[in-house]
Amino acid sequence: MEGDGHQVLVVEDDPALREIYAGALRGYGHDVRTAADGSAALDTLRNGWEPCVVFLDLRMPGMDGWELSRRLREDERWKSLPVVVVAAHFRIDQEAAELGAAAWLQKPFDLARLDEETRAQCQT
Amino acid sequence: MPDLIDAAQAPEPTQQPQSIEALLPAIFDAVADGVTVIDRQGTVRFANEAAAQVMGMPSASVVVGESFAALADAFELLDDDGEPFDQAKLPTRRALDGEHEPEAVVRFRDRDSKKDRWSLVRARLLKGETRDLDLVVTSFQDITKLVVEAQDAVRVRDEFMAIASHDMRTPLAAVRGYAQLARRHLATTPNDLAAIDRWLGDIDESAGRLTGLVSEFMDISLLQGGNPVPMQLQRVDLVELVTEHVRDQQGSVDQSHVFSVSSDAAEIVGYWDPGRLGRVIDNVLGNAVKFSPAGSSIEVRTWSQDGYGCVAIVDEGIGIAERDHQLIFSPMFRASNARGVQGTGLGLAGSRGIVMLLGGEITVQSRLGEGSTFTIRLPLNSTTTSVRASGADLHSA
Repeated sequence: MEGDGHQVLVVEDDPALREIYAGALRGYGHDVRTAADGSAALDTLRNGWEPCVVFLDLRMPGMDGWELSRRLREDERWKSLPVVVVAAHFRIDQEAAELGAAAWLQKPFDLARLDEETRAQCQT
Repeated sequence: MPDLIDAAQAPEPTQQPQSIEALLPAIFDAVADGVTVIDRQGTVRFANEAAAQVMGMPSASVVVGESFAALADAFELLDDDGEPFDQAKLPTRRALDGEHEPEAVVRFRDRDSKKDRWSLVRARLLKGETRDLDLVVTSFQDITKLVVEAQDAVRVRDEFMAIASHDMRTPLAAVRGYAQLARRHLATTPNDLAAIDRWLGDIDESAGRLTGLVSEFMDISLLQGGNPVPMQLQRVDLVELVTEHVRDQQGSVDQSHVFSVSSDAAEIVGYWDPGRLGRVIDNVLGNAVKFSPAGSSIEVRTWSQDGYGCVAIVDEGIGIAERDHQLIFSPMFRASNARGVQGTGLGLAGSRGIVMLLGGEITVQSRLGEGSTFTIRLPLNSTTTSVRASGADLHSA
């Protein structure tokens, strides 16, 4: 499992879920940074973190997931960075499609899905 | 006793009473339901004013003598699913075909305005001396108001279900997540019981959040239906309750906000439902955290005044526009500047319902960009034993 770890960014305002996602991804051998909202995520990226996938919650105080997604698409550096929407929304498939997300995970889900999505998004 | 009949309208005592037969057209015009009589050739032989109205015609006299098919052509006839209504299944046609008192709900969509009206259509065959002389009496009961109300109720229920399932998924995700982390850890490091114990504590806490949400949804459901909420009144020290909930809130938000608690008395004792009152305080505290920037202060004060226990929660957040001050207590209302923030607008509605049941009130003082102060006032001796709030109370703002 070790050795083929990927760099991942988790954007989630709920501290418990942030800890769970990061803990699970680290357990699968990935290198993880977390952010509690969109602007913290942008700071992490600007400071040189180069993830190959972003797991993104939508509803967050401060800059929300919709706004972060829009900012990423508008910036040459991150426009092709795959985003996986992680949310509890009723029609998460529609939300993800509207954002141009690569995939979506509806809360709650099996944590192994985080590893599967990371591998799928980072190897393409 | 004054004469209840206007003298000018009272019949002359010397006149013969009018025959009912002669009055029949006027009697039918007084009926709210549309009534038509149609012959086998499809010609309208009789229609009352309500029928003319259903057909969008100015008066019954314009309708009589016309072909029913031509009149109906102004409308698109649709069934329950919005599909074209099979003409052969219209009650008038079915009655002519010999079916006993057929009925159907028909949606009439005006071809010009595209407006829909729903009618319960019933028909009955009046047999003539010969088949050619058969007539069909058709009545149209306008049920548009009922249908629209039912559709609204279904929409509110669906929204409620969507909100409830959405809000429950986050703590549920935490329960599953911690359980999975613990199992993985146990597989690799079976002796690290301290870590397992911590995760079990986290699972318990998340399950507690989930329980709180479920209880809140149940209360809202009861309040909206105008049903009694099973309150459990007991001796509560407001100062202690508030301090505990502030401490819990502080623990769950990574010290992102600076809380301060003060009270003008060592204890403020009243008879309230501590579980529900705790949820009210959690809701308001949670909003203060969600709607104010990290690092800002949240001040919580308790005091007693004129037989009331009071709590004020003051934040330095985004504030609430004055036009929204009352609306924020309505179920599922989200202030225009609240988008993007977790939560669905059920919290304050439920909080207000609970505070009202305890005989108190919850108010807000706020201006956009200048923070908010929520004040809860509760009578120390709540007499609320048989508690019942009407749905209207919950909605009125």
